[in-house]
Amino acid sequence: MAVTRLAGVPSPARSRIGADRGPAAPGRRSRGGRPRSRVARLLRFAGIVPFVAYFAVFLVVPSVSVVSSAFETVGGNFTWANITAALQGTYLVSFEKSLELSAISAGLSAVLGTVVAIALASTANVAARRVVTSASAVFANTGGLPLAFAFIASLGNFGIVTKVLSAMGWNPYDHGFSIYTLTGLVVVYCYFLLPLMVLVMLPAVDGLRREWFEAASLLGARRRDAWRHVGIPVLAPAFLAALMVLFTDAFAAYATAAALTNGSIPIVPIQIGSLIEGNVLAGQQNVGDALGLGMIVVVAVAATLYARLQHRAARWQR
Amino acid sequence: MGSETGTLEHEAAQRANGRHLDRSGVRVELVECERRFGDVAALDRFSLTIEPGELVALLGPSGCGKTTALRALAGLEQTDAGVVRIGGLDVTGLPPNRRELGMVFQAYSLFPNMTALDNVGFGLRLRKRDAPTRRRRARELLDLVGLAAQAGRFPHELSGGQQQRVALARALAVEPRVLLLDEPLSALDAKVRAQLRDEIRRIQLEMGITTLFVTHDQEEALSMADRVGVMASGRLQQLGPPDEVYERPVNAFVAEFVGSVSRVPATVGAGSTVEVLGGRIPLPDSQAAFAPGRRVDVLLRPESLAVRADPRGLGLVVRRSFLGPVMHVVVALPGKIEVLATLPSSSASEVVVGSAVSVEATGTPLFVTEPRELDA
Repeated sequence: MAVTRLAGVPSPARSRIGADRGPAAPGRRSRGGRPRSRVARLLRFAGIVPFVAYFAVFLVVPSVSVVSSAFETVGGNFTWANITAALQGTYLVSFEKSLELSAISAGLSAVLGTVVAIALASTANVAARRVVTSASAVFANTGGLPLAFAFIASLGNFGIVTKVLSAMGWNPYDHGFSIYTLTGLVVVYCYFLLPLMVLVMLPAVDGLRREWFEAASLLGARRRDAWRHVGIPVLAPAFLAALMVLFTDAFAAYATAAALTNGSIPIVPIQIGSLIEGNVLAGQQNVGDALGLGMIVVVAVAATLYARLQHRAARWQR
Repeated sequence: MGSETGTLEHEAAQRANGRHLDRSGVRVELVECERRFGDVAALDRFSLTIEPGELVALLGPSGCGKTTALRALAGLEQTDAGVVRIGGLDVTGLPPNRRELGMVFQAYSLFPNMTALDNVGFGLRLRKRDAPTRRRRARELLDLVGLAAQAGRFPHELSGGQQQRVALARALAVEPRVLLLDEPLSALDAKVRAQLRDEIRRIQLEMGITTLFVTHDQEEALSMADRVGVMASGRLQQLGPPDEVYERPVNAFVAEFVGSVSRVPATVGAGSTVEVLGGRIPLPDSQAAFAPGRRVDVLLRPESLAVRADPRGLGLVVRRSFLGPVMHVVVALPGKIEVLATLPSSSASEVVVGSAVSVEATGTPLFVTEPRELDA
């Protein structure tokens, strides 16, 4: 009907009326007035297709699979048993160990990394800064088997550093230290977490303005007052956000711990690996998925905190 | 030094007890101060005295040392030599937090994690004033700078001009002995700058606080200051009231830096006169000793040049700028000389770009100096 009535209408009016109805709508034209085809519109999104595909294959599909399997029996029926099993006994201990390991290694690395970042930000030695940041970028991305073997070769029972210290009369293994314990894992994790903290915190520390400290000083503040009232509060959101990143990084690390301790320390990723491989008990893969769901929840909480804190940091450092 | 420091603390204690010091300000002295950065002398035997309650503006090009002088007074920069006195007390070795100064920086000095109210109250918080007292005082000062309604806003929620007002209120909150202004208006747009300039001056006069103001903007310096100091190469070239610096510069640098001038070759004539642009004008009184016949350059203000449309004139108008009641006209003369003249807009209709004009020097030259070739 509409087409029949529009047949004799002059073209400007027709296109105006037609604009409300469909094909010739201004909203479907490009800014220059040329009609935009469906293909052209689809092409606008072509650039993000690889990312979406990657995201779907390596994050969404596995996550959905883990979550659904966590509530299924081996036969595919709904059950709470996997969740219940994951929250008691050895598995609950593994969560406690994982949280302990992640919290200590992330906390230590965060504090020391911030100190290094502050030192780098305040040094006038540009070359030193460049060397340290470059080295940090390399160390922050070193992990897995090579890192584990590097530490075994250096700080293991018969490692070079251990031998040198022994020759000097102080064998760390005689004083309770072992690279194959939770303490040893903390030391190894700090190896890649501390440089990561330096890289993450350096821009935030660079954002501290000299004028804030000078103004505080002229208002009567000592150096520590200025840090207490201005420097630390301004850095706090960035620090806590970076701490979250380190925590999740440590919480999810698997290969280094597996290679170093051979599964003797029951952290969650190692438990999941054992359950999926069926090393301990056959048919327990779904409990592994329940542990995986627990990890997702922990990381999601950390990521939410990170996002909120990052938002506050961005607001202050505009 | 110890007793002097003790006196400062004693004065601070008096203030804390409510026995306020004389609010007419204190005398500030920088004596023979030196500061070098490598081979560059930022301060070269720099001396300056600011009388109680006075506003002195330090003016000069970038790198002349004006900010270093201010930072030396603040204690933010250590001098290599020299003495800094505030209220007669030697504070050279005192850290900034014990000098009892207030400072407004160029920009971005407000604490981003505090509201405007908390920024203003920060100094009082350090002085252990109770929360109601510091909130009341902070609100009074925010009201003084016209920002009472913005007390709860964070710095990033304020405009540049508002941030500088808060910075001024924060500096005044601690009742400083001296107020330091380090180009506080340079990051603001022209309208806000003019408005805030007047406000700063009003508040400074009301409080009678001794103030050192550093700027590269001569209009700001000349309009706000009781005295203007012109600096170059770490040294004070001239210090005096704005009209004196503008009208009676002590050297060619000051003459050329403050205001607009044209440099024109001339010859000293008999009877303390100088022959320039085909005419004869008197030498400045302070420079009457030049020998007759000597070649010199004279520095002439735009208002000391008369430009008339003249088909036989040797000048050629190359630019003109309409400035409301007056017109700026740039005229090219033989010998690659360009002069700037100011004409009433009403009489400049025939002086158009490309037209021939005659140029005549009137009155007394601002300054007479060696020809530029000899300077080089």
